[in-house]
Amino acid sequence: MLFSSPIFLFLFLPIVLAGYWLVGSRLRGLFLLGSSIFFYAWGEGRYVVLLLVSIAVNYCFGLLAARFRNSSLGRIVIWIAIFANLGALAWYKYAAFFASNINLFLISLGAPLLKLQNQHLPLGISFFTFQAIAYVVDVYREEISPQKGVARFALFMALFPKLAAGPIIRFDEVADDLHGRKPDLELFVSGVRRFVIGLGKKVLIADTIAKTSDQIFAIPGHGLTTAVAWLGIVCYTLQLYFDFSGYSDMAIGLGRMFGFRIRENFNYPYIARSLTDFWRRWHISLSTWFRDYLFIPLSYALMTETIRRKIAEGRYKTNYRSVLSIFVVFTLCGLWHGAGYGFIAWGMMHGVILGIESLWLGKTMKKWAIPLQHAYLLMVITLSWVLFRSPGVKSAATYVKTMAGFAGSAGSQHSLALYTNTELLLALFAAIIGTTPFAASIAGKFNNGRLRRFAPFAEMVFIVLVVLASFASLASSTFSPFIYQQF
Amino acid sequence: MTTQEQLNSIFCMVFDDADISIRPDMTANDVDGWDSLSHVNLIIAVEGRFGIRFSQKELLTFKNVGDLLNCIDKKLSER
Repeated sequence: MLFSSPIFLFLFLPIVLAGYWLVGSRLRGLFLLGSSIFFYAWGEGRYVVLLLVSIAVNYCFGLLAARFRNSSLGRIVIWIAIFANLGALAWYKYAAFFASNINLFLISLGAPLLKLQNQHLPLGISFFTFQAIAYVVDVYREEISPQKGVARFALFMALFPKLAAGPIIRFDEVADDLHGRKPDLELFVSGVRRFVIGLGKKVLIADTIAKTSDQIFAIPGHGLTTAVAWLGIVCYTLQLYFDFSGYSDMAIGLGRMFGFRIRENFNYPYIARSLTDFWRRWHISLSTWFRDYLFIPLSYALMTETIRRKIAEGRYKTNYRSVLSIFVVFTLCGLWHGAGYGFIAWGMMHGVILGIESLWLGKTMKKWAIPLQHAYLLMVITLSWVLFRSPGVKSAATYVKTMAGFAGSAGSQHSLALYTNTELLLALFAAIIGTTPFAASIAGKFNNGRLRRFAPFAEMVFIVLVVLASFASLASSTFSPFIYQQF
Repeated sequence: MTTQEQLNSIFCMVFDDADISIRPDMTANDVDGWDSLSHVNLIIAVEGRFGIRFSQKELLTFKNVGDLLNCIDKKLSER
């Protein structure tokens, strides 16, 4: 059930919201849990069993991690929990990919091949397995106490606003909200507003721009022209942000409607001035997950006594081991997005550039003119999205070559005018404004300026217009899934 | 030397900038080059110079220089 589908907007959401706030406060959690399980089963059918098993097993891991915190068994519990969660993820997401790679090797040996079908990828598995790992590790590290109530833990795992594509919530983030949610009109209204803005970002901007980027990325490499290739990647760059940040806005907004305060997942990533800065602003719940549960433990594990001494004495200025960790972390971050070499190459590219920025470029860049820093980031990020979007590394290379001016012979058939229309240009214009804090600053000025008393009215008009335009757009088109739901 | 002065010299060494003057309310945004990578160097250098070890839990609770200072003082007083 997509957040932008009529069945969700006009049936599921109103019924669940009404039921949730009408039942007594003691039943609220159970009602929301039941609704969330229903939400999952609606789209995923029997895979709801997988979610339930994951909840049960991780609930036990949490208790065990707390019980054996200070004994050697604790570490064993943690490793089993990590392997169990990653094992499930690997089976559903990567088994076919790994098998096909092993088969390449087996072919050369003339050995019989592995026969593995592509598995159905259960909705949200990449997100809830990571959430569970964070939970068990946090319990072990004594950052949180384990949740003893099964229903509360189940709600933490299954809460439908964030089930399909995150944000990957941490237990401490919602611990208080899990314990009881009082009606809070202000929070509810801010949730509705946020949801509508997310809906608009997805339906009006991302889906409109997607039509063009999908068309352009469907052109075979030799048919592209340089201008069309640039239009395609600019469209995709904006589409991806509006699709995913729109989804995140909807998730955060839904959370608030039910009394849950979920942390921000984006902070204007495209106005960053370095890739390091970008990763503090893009998919924050994932980047902080990788930092806290992979980068830091890995970096520490790689430190020997000699290196520790060298660092303390200032004789090991360049921490090559941490640079290696960054590379490993981002390669895995690429793989997390999907079983394919394009994603892996995308992650490696980010790892290498982040390493270079940390070693040397970051300091040099600070001396550049600010527009140049922005141009650098946008160039890096746009090029990396080619890898992210193309079906493979080879086609990505052809695409980048075309962007650089080496267009194929058949390119002339595809002129820029074929792909541009008023609708697209309007959406692109809105998208570019929307990637900056410009609108928020205008709203802030309005709220504090002479026209202050009209501000609530103006906001209401804006929200209603976005709702109407989104509904109109939904009614006239087939809806498309969120990009990150496929990861 | 106070803990803060000692820590200041570690900051200058790790971030290769003699002009850094730390304040308790300083965060990663206030120091050029303070990212996750150099953070590892900073923590290891602090651990080495003061002869202490932070737990993973403590590492993740540092929100600013003040938190780090308090934690160092706490560890030193426990010895």
